[in-house]
Amino acid sequence: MRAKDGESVGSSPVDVPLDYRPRPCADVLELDMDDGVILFNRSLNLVHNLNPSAATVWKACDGKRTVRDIVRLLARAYRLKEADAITQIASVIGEFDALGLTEDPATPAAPDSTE
Amino acid sequence: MAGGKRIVAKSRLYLEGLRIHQAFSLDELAGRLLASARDMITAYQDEYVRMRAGGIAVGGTAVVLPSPPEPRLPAVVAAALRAGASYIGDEIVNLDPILVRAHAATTLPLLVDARDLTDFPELGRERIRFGRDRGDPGAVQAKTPRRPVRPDELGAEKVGSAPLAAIVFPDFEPGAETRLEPVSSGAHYLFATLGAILNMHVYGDRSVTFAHRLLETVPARRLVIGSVDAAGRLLASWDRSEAGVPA
Repeated sequence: MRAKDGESVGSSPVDVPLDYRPRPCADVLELDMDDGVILFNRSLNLVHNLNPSAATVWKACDGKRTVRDIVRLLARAYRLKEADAITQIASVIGEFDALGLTEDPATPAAPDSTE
Repeated sequence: MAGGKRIVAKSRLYLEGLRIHQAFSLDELAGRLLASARDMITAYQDEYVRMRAGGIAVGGTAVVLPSPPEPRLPAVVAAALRAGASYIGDEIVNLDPILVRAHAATTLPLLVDARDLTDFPELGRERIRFGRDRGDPGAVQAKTPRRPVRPDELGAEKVGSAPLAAIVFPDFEPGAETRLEPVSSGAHYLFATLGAILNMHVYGDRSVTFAHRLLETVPARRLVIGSVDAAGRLLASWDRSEAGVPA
């Protein structure tokens, strides 16, 4: 699937722009285990178990790399074709976003409702 | 009646004119009432980490069996009691995260699924009717009642609390060889442990670090359960040598 910067990619219901720079949300606790990563979302009291593949994508989400950068990084590391990897990786990142595990550092914080 | 049909009357329990339970026998009615009471008693027990788990004591130390919702778990605990273990809990156990002790959540008897009572003929419980299978196992399971079984009926004693010696993850595989297998402190079993914690909304990330620390420090095993009776005997024969702890 070809895409340009700023366009969304993914065949899942949750699409993410390729220029999106995901980073872990501050209220997510991470435990790196031998066979995956456990994430605990403090604000929602939800626990997520990432398998090794999803954990690899998660660790690449540092707030500096765009989705496109992550796809290139992982495709090079695992000798994948970018065109094959882009949908899957974008889909995983979209899931992270939908679950409240990642955020875009460029997005301003919501105003305090008490002000 | 003519033709050999039997009429079975239902027992009903009313509270100020409102029917709150009904069953085909008083024993079954007691099981339903005790199940409701147990839920109410334990709902706000937050002084410890509350876990959906069976609990037994062997040689003065506790073995805890964290589990997803599993109606056969009390039967495994009952089988362990019959084989010589002491009773802590059938489905809910409280864990002290500081002293690492397992505590009984209630003083109520075990609530064994009625289908599993065939494994305990010595209890002499009458056979009861089960919900008709209409293709929805969940609905049938919800209607299948629990029967109260006191620990002393199985020749066991109750234990209020004991230091935690092992965590055993039950895995039901009917027909398989019943055995204990070592497990690593990986994400899978940490996730299983966290999934069994019932008051994570209270403990938050402290429960995550507690569960992680438990699996790092307390011996953990996977119990493949082909036979409830064999699983009970295996658990009751747990000793410190099995756990790799010096005597």
